[in-house]
Amino acid sequence: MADEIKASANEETPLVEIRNLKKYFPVKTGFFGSTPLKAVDDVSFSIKRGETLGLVGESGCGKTTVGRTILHLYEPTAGQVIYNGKPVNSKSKEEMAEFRRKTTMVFQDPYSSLNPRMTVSDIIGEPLDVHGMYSSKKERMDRILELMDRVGLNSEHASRYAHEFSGGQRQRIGIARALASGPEFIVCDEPVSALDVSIQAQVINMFDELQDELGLTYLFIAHDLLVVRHISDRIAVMYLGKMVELADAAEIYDHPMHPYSKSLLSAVPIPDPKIAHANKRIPLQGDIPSPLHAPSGCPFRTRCPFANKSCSASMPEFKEVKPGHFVACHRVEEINS
Amino acid sequence: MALLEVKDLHTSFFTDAGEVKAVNGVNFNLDHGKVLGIVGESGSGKSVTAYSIMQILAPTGKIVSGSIKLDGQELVGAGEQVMRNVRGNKVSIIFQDPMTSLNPTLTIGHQLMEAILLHTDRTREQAEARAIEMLSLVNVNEPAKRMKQYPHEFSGGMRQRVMIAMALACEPDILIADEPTTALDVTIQAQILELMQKLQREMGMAIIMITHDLGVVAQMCDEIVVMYAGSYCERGTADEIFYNPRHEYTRGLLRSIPTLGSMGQKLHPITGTPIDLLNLPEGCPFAPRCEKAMKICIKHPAESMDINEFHKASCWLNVKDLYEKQQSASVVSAQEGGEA
Amino acid sequence: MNKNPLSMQVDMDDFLPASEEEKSYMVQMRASSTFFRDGCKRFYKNKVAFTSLVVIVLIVISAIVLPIVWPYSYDVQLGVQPGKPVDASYNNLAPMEYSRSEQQMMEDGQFVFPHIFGTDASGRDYFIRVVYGTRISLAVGFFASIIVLIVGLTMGSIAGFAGGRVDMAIMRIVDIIYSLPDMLMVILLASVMRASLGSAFEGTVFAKIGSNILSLFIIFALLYWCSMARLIRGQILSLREQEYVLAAQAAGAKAKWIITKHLIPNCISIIIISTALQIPSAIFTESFLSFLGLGVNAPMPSLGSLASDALNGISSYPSRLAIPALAISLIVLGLNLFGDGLRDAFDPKLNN
Repeated sequence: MADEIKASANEETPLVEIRNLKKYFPVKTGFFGSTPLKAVDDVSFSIKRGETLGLVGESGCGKTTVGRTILHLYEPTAGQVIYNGKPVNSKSKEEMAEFRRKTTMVFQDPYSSLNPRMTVSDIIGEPLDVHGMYSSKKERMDRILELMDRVGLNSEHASRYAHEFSGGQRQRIGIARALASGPEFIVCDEPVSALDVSIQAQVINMFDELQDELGLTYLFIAHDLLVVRHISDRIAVMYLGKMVELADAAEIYDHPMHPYSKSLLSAVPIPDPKIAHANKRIPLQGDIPSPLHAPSGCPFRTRCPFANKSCSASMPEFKEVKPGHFVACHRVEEINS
Repeated sequence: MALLEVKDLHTSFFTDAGEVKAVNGVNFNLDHGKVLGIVGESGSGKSVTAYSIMQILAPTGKIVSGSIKLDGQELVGAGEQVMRNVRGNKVSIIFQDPMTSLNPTLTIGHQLMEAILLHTDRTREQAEARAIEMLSLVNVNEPAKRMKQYPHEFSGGMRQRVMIAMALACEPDILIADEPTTALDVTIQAQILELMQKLQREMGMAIIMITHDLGVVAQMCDEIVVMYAGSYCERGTADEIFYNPRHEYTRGLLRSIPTLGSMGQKLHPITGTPIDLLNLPEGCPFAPRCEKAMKICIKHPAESMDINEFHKASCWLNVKDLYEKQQSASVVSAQEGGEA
Repeated sequence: MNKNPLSMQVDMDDFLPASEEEKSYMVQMRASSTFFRDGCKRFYKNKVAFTSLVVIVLIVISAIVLPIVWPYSYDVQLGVQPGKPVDASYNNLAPMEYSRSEQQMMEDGQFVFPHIFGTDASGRDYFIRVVYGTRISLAVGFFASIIVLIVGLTMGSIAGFAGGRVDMAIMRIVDIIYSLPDMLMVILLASVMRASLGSAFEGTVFAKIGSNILSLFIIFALLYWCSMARLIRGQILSLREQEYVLAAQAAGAKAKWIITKHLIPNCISIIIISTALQIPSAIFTESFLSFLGLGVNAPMPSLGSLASDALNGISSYPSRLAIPALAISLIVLGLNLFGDGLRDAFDPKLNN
């Protein structure tokens, strides 16, 4: 315990650290049996205070589950979430309430994430109500109006319902709700992928500004790699529930080392005809296997152009290849030499 | 003569709340073997344009005016008989969601053969052979075995391949792809786009690519039409649109997307929110969000103007530039006249 | 390039930048409107549903008011007056017909209120009996639906929210009840309860309502909650997956908060609609049971028992069967159309 207290005082302590996090969902297979679906399998990383960690991967890779399990919306199957130097204890009511105040989430779908029967002010005020964070009706309303102002919403709209707004405005409402309890850490789960291109930039800029003003820490989950690269300090790549690569944003884009990251990044369509035509894509064969029948050893070996016998034998270790650059690949040295 | 000529197309939906003008005067031509991109945000009317060509609009939708000529044949008001021949035979369409476009209770082979039998006079055996050929053409492994499987046994990318095979089975002149890769992952998207390019080279059909993703457009398209709120902003070759945009909306769009070089910098978004199609303003629909909007933009919609041989745009700023050029030219010529 | 590219003449002033005000004038947000107001607007536009609402309101008002102001009462045999011999001429009057003594009074210049639908075999005014029967039928239908709502809502929301084994148990009970032949069950239960409850309620307020009606309510509470429970369970299961519920959880909201703020408000329209559609089916069941003699206690009439009594004299007085039958049809049709209209107007799944 003493160590932990000392550690939390240290500036260098990561705000969020997850160790060997696992989340399995039971899936019914047949009449009686059920097999675990390993949505997140042994993932570890940490996020420094004020940092943005981008989490990318294709659908079904478990990135959303990572975000939700960190926030204990799903109870982890195994592993630890350490927040501010202290393991999150879901048994203690007080500690959980504190954790819920300090962490929050922004969702992908600006339609299903706002209750259609609540007014904008009630939606934004929900965290305030839940935590009883005001002493008078006026204080509550003032705080709501302040939040609306901060995300660029007209305060006259406080009594309207969410369905009257466009997607971008709805996402602003969602962000205002996320900010209401004064959080430090926000899990942003694909917050711009449902928005129109011209609106995306408004919301991305708002995330940037809020981070500068409030010193927020983000876990930014997305599949749009250009958006992730724009906003993130470091980027983690996931494949089939496992983390395959983690490095600084510039490093991972300029020198991706895992074969999956290489083809993922080369597959991004660049909005510039000349670059797009010159771009050499590294095509991947086939589809992502079902997480229920994940291949033995390295999960990527079925699509990997470099796979050999050793890849099917064991899961490669997630090791630091260069300072700050982690890769999980048996043949990383051979491929990148 | 262009393969497809769309002139001043107006399509509206007549809903309880009033008339929604989804497409407001769109013009473009499509030549044989070209890839045309229609770019726009949700509600820009890009899909409705495509559905108007196929005349597969929802019951409340109606082509109000304009002309759509396919190989010189007028399609607007041509009647269901003509359109049935056009759909599938001359123009095919693939949709965003390959999940809902396939019937889950029938095998892939059955559905493919049905499409072939419907549009050609092949026998069942010939149709089956053709279906297998099409599946191998779209890179489906073991096509003969796959023919007997049901849609749920296919992944999203595989289903989209089947949809493409089905659309191309009758060798149409035009393939309309309505957001074909939006529902797919990046690596699968790359596979599908590559496949479409390969098929286009081999079969020589023209493609209309409807998308909101400028990256997809940059990779695929020869020509681009940019749409906003049912109106067309500009059209031209891909290079012209990307490197010489002449409409404020296109400029804003290109500025607002993150690029590889924009890390750590502020993005430059287009301010404001998309316009309500039920309350379209009199002037240019983009004017409320346009940084350079002028008084005229609020009063009148801009007319289409030739920028050069490959590029048309409807933005008042171009007219303003032209006027100023003319004026300074006349001033210069007046001065020259004075000196002489 | 020197020619004017435009079809119209342009003033150079038009190229001055537009002010923010001018720009904002172009975009106007639509007038604020709530879900409820939108629904009402849609409902009002639906001519059939609106007409049936008017008809139902008229029927309800007359069923409540008319028995109070009408000069005749549903249980008074007009021919039986204290101190006088029984006047049989009051019995079995045709519509708008008068008895002998009433004709006498009219000749004396007195005003006699007409028997619009005539009288029944015991000399009771048939019009007021039909109106009173309507009142009973409506009340039974309404309360039965409320009971179904309460039981169904409780069971459905427990199943949906608790999930797991509780859900499994409740749903199996539902399956069992569904597999029972319901009409047979109703008849059996009604006759058993009539025997057992009748004595238990002797002398209490329940005796006046009648053991049959009470057993009817109990039957509804036992057997008819299943579809309501299924509906609400399904709704809650799908609502629980909504991201706003997850958002509330992420904010630290407790189960009670989520149920009262998110789940129930989003279930309400579906609850109201299915309750509205439950009323006519309850009225039907009540009429059916009364027709079989398992309904309300005499002399209290319900539309079903009136029809049943009319069977005795069907060849001579067919109108006595036709009138309550028409009344049932009108009420049930009106309520069904009204319920359908409500669903069209308020069920978000049906409108885009």
